[in-house]
Amino acid sequence: MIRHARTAVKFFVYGLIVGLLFSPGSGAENRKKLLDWVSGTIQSVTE
Amino acid sequence: MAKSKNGTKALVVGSVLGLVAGAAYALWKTPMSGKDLRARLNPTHLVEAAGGSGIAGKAMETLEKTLAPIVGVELGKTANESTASSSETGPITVAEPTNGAAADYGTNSIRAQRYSWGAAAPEVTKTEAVAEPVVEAAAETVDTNAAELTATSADYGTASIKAKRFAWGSPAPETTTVTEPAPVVEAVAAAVAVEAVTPDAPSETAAYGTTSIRTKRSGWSSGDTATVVAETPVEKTESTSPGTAVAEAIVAEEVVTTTSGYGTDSIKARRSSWGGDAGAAAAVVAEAAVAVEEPAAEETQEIAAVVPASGMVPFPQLGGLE
Repeated sequence: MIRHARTAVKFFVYGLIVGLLFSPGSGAENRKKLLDWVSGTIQSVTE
Repeated sequence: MAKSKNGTKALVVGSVLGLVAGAAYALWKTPMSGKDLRARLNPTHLVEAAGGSGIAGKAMETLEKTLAPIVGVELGKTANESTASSSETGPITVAEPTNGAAADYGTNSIRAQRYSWGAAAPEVTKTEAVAEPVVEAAAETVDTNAAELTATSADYGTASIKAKRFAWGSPAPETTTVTEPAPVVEAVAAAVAVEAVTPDAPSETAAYGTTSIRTKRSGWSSGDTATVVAETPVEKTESTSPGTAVAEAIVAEEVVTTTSGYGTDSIKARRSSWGGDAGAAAAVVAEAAVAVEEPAAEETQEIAAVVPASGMVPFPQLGGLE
């Protein structure tokens, strides 16, 4: 179990580095885009 | 076999979940975009981003390398022109005389040349401004020396010299200078006179003056200095030495000089009108000299032959006084 957790933490760090280096924008912009995409998708689904 | 499959499945799920969670957290909290972050970590990446890493960027790089020598030559020409212009203005700045501190430099000839080049500062004014304090300082020094000599040489000189000096009003520095060697002669003459008149003078009366003078002096109460001085040369006419009269006159002069509080009312009145005790002493000495000449005319003629008018007795001639 501990072995699996270690592997998860290792991949978490890998994902963190890749996300920082290839982020399309800052965190605020990304959050806005994400919310806009979520709201648009919900609206399109509801309609 | 089943355990190995479960282990592999857990590894893959854990890695994928970890990768997604990490990426999501990074995208949620990142302060800047990935492009800016990479530029900050590697500055050369920023140059490529600005100039373009495509064909346009390579074309601009080639153009800059081609034009670099031409631009360098132009920059060199600009630098040479600026240096030449500064070298032209340099000597003018140095050689141009100003009214400041540099205007006082150099000798008079150098200053004359410098101002002949077109300076506005007058050389004569500068020279006078420098020379005047020196002259004034020298004059002050001369005056100070003269005052010191006058103050210290107030008692110098023989009777005739003193009479002349005080008759002139105030002792001038030239007179003081002339009479400086006199005390030597005076001291020698006084010593000769004392030996001639009082050969066996008591040792306890080591003070100046002959026996009669000392006797009279001891008897002074309120002071009849003029009378004593007038009588002293008359007594000394009995001596056979021609230098005795002069020596006695000198001794009388010393007595009068040191007894500044003495004298009759007429003497005091004259002294006060003369302005000081020195004048009184000179007058009394002059009277004493007149008294000396009257009874011993022949001796005074011999003295006049030996002692010149200036009162300076040459040292080798002192032997004739004995």
